Amino acid sequence: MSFTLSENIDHTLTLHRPGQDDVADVRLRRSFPWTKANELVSVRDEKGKEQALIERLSDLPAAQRAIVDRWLAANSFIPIILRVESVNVDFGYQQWGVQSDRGPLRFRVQEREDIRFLPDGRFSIKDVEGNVYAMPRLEELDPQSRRAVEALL
Amino acid sequence: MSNPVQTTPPRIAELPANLTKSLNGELGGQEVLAWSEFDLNQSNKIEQSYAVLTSASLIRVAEGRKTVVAVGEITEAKIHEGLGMDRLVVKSAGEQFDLRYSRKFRRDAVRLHRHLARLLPDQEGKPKEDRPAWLEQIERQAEQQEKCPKCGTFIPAYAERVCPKCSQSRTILWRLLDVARDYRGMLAFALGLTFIQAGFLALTGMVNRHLIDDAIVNSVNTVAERMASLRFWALIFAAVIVAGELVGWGRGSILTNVGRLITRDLRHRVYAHMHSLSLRFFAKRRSGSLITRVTNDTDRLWDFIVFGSVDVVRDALIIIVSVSMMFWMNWRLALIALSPLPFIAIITWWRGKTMHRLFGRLWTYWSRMSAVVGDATGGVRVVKAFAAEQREIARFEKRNQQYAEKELEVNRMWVRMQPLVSTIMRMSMLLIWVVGGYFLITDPSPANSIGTLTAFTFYVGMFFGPINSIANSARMVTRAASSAQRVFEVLDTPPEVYTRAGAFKKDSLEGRIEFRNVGFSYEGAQPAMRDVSITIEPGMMIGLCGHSGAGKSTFVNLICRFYDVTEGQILIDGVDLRDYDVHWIRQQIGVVLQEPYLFHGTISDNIRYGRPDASDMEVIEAARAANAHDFIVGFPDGYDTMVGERGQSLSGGERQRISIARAILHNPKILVLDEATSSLDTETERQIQEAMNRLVTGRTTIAIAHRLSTLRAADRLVVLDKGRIAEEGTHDELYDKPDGVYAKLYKTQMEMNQQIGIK
Repeated sequence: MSFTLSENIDHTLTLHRPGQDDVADVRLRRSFPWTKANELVSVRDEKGKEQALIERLSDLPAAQRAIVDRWLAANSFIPIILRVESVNVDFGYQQWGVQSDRGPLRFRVQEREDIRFLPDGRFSIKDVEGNVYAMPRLEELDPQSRRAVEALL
Repeated sequence: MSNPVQTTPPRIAELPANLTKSLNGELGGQEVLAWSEFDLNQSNKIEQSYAVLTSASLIRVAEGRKTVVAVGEITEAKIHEGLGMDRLVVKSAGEQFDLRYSRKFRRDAVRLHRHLARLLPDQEGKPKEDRPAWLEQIERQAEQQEKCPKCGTFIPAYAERVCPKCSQSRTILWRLLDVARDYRGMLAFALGLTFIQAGFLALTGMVNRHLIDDAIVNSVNTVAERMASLRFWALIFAAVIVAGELVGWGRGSILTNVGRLITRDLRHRVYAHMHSLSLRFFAKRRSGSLITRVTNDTDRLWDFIVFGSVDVVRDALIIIVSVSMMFWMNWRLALIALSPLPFIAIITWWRGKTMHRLFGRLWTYWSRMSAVVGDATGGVRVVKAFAAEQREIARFEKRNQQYAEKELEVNRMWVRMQPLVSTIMRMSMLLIWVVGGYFLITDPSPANSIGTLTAFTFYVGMFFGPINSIANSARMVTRAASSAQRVFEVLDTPPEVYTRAGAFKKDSLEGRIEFRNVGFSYEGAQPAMRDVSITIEPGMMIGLCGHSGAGKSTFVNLICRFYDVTEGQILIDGVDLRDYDVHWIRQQIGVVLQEPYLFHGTISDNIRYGRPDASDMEVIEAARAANAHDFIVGFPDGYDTMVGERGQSLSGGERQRISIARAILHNPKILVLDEATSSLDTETERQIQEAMNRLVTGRTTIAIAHRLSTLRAADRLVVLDKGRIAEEGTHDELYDKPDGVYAKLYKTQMEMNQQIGIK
């Protein structure tokens, strides 16, 4: 590792590299958020310029890994849908009511195309506000949820 | 502190009732500048909280608890952008707020931050200067516009200024019938004919009964009487058939005609309204989805208004009439004949539901398969260049196979259900003959006659069709409703850029353009233009340069009023752009785009696009001035040459000169040039340059400049960087700036041109 990250009191990260100035308030972005969540995480400065690239999170020392995981958890909101309670097609919008790992959610999806089928069988769903939700594979859903979503896919 | 007399009601932002309650007088007469709801807690789980900003303090309300920080104590307020969420971190001496929100509340949170940032001293520690009153006024208006004029709630950003609350309060189907209002006379007539048609259908069964009982199997009357009876009932039978079909024909032709008119009107309304909408509306939607609205959705509505609604009435009538006829003839036999009905209804309903689902999925597979074709044909050059034909074929084959498998599934389902339904149907016929036969044998009264039995089988056979369509009508209604919603969404979207009341036109324009502290953002947090002030004198040519994303196109979009500024104002000849009639002002502005779009039509149509009434001579003059006349006349079809959808038969240089000719003919006072980035050969370049020079003379010109020649020709260059004006001056002035953005840009370009051999 040629760089280290440190955590500040306001939850921002600072990047330290030997022989270079520290970069304050760096942000992490996954290059392949859906297919390789734990690889190729980019460390970018405030302006969006890449300062470093973490090839594999598993290669990080435990303390660094914890910092990265904490930051990612604190700065991302992609709820995982645990149970689909209802989907009503209501005048062109799909009105979803779900239980997620972040609590109960209600959201609207505009078009069929906003539900994306991922290569591993999971789904990503984008709502009208721009929020993105992850839904597990159909087989992993309970029967009631499966029935609710099947007609939409 | 909170003297009720001093309390001014919050003006900009109306707080929701529960929030006002939990604030419990905390506002103390302060005006609420902004507020926002936040939906995430410190572990990014859903939890509601609020933050309210007044000029004195920032108040956070979570679970009914209040935390108040005086604005004077706040040292920093910053938005940290995350993934799917942002954090608004507000630091002060004592407290630190870490307010987290998903996309849902981004707009409100950004607004709150903007208001808060204004109250804070900037990084050098000096307080911000007071903003001019007119700017406040404009912002206030912009915020007011985001509210529904009817119910006063903030309209979510996705809804395009159509309040979802209000647009749903009126039932959509009711509105749908509203569309047909102009034709209600004809529709009512068709409905009347429908009643008559159902009556004739019912009569057929009765006549049938008489034909058999009075003539064919009558053992009481004489042969002569029976023959007379046969003739009589046969005539009636024929009359009923012909009359019924005539009525049906009348009804059908009225309905198709009304349908034609209604869809024509609806298509016209949707298409015309679409053209009045702003670019933002189009930017947000795929063009495919808009085309569908004008074509498919209106068609589906036609289907519903004309056939759907009237057919449901007819089917219900047929069922009612047949059932009552059966009960009138023989109620015991009617009960027996109808006994399989519930089963059939249930099966039909269930089958409809399943088939609908299966067909929906089948359709998805179909469109996925077509998508591959569309994709590959659209990108056929890339496919060939990468020699990826085999891969594309394999990709298609995979989808094709999937579709075929699904189709098999659907067919199996269909084939399995069909025999079941028809077995039950035929069983119920058999039941009539067996039970009816038993009644006839044991008690040969007229109620049990052969004629009655025949009439029964006729009625039973008649209402299976209607049952099918009634069972499916619920789905038809939902389908029509969703089409209606999509169509009304377009019709309900008010044009964002519109001509204000009292807007005016002038006889002529001088062409002075002035930007005053203009700020603009397309959406959300990222401003595309910040605090831009510049004056362009009439007849002057300025070159806009800067990196991509620096705001050059935004500059042009704002001048053309494709969008309205969010802050500040743009003045043309000293008058706010928004005070002009929007069509008139656009007519005064000519645009020559980087990728000139030529419509399907002839070259002369395309040159005339800005002024359809121009004479042929004027067209030729314009083409001459654009150095286009000679090559156009060189085409076998001359000015009548058809240019394809994107003018593909023409070279880039030719297309550009045609679009210059179009602009010259249009003769605008203000000219916007979006130069091509690609270099052309020297001769073409020279010809275009010459044409350009003729075009810009006497017009205020704003050129998005890539070419060195334009950069040198411009009276003044404006270098944009991240939505701000970074540098401004003549070529020589900027070139001499040692560390200037322009100097760097120019030098790289020079080097590049030397490398590829262009001077």
